[in-house]
Amino acid sequence: MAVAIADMTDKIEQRPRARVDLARLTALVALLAPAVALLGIGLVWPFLKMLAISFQDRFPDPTALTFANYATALTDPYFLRITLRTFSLALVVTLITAVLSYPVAWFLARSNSRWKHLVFLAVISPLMVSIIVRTIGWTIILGNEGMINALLVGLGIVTEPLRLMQSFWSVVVGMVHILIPFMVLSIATVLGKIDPGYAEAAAVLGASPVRNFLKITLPLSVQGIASGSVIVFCLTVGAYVTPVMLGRGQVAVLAVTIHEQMVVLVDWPTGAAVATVLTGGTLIVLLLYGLFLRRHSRR
Amino acid sequence: MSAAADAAGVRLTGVKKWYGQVPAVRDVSLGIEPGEMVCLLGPSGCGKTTTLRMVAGLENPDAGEIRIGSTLVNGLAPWKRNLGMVFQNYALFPHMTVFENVAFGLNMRRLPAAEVRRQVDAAMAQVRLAAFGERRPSELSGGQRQRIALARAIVTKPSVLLLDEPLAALDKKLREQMQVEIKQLQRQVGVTTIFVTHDQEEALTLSDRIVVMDEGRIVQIGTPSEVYERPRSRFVSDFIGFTNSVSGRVNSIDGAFTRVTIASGQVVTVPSGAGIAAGDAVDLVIRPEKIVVDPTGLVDRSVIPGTLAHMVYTGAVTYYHVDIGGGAILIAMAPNPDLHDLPALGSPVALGFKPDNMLIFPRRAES
Repeated sequence: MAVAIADMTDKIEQRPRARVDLARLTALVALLAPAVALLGIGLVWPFLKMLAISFQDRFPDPTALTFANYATALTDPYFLRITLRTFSLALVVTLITAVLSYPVAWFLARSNSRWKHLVFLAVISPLMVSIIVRTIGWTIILGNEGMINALLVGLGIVTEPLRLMQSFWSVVVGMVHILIPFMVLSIATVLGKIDPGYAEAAAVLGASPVRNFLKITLPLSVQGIASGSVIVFCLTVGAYVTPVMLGRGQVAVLAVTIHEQMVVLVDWPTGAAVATVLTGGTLIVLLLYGLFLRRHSRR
Repeated sequence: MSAAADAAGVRLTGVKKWYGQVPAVRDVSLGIEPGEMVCLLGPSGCGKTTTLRMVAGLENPDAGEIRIGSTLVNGLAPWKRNLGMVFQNYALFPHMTVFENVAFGLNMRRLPAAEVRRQVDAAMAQVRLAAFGERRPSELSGGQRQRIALARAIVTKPSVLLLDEPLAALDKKLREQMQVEIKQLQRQVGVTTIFVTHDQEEALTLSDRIVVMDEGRIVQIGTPSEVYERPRSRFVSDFIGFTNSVSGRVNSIDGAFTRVTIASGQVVTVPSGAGIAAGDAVDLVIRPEKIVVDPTGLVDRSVIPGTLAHMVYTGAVTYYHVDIGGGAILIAMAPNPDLHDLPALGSPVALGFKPDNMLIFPRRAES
């Protein structure tokens, strides 16, 4: 009798557990499938395809595999200059965005001002307008017959309009403007989660506001700057529209070059190699950045 | 430790603080002697934490003066006040090691590294956590965090130590242990200490003097025994310790003695209270341990008869809930020194008390 009961409880305990596991697995697969399929078809497969093309001597109809495309992408002064410019653009934009965003994020996270909601709206409102529209806005301001030049010439400060567009810095201005919301929101999220008690404790321990910020708030908010920087860096490195429109062809970046190489010059293998260099370079920069942060913000 | 010599008194004069339209601290005047340990006790929202934060400089008073030593500190930034403070959640810096946390105040004072190390090591030995310097705050237990927060607060030899509900986050056993440690440390260091709590037992155990606060005002200042034995108001007697109350009406007043007719119709003679006139509705209040069950053979006791309505046996002591008629219940607490039979429910019980121990207050409007 006792044995029979023990036997029964065994069965009762085992069966439902197995069924739940199967149900969970099915649900998990069903939930993940769309995302996996989308990423597979839209990202992984094209990327692998591009990687394959970058090793082909010609496309389509390759006759041999070769490293020649990479030799060109990595040693040709033309490509090198553009690669360098692209990464310095991303670096400069990330830096400026971080510095400009921090005070705004601070205000959003800490202030009780009644203007807070208005500032928040002002910060995210650029996200509601297309990048093209915003970039055209900058051409109206910076153009040869634009607002700034009209003002300077009208006031007699300069006689000839300044060439404000078609320069590295005009692209920087445009990119910073477009990407600042991402940085502000990333930093504000982290700042808002920091217990104000830390800064109070530091103040009572004798930290002046400047040292309090440098020793307590800044290190505690590094994660926000980090995630904002990753977003801004990646979006700048791959930017196409803004460099084209504000650089007017004078500020070549990798995204534009890849497009030219593939679509205008119909040299797919070299374009694919440059694209791989762009992706690889970005990954390396992010990796170094991650290591740097880990060393400087032990938790 | 020579910090005792540096201990400063604290004086608050007519201090007021509003949060918008809401008064948080209404009119607080309070003098604290150098080296004294004073507790601000009261229910939440009584203004005790706001008062502490004003001493720390984290809030500015809207009116009145705060002096630390002889210095008027109104408007003086917290980082210029040379204070130590332990926060309720300790606020240990999560991105620093325990050593760096304790060293923070010394580094802000730009002491040489060797001196910082020496003093931090001494402070950490004082809280018996000498070997924990390289850990992160997240790797410590609640009690250890509490002790590191204390070490961080005293290592700079502050003129005043401020503790904001320092034990609230700990469980009961640890809390009792830490009460002893904090008291010992405070005696050793000799630092003037203000601490805030809503826990009356903590206040009674730790303080030289207790400041009882209610609705932004000080309602009584006194030693623990004064506040416990001679509460000046119904609020204080209810907030500190457990009290019994019996309502009645003043029959007559004869100098030092007042005769009160209680609900059961019996007349009780008690010491006169301030501001009470014949005919007033009053509450008589007494601590359960001041009532003796079955006072046969004891002198100087007033006796009230009743029947045993309920008993709560807690091991060391038993609480006897006695119905004395007219809907009134008095609770007597008696220790259980020997194994003995407890009286049966419903049996007649006589309660005895010294009239001196019965306090008289104006009847409180029941909410």
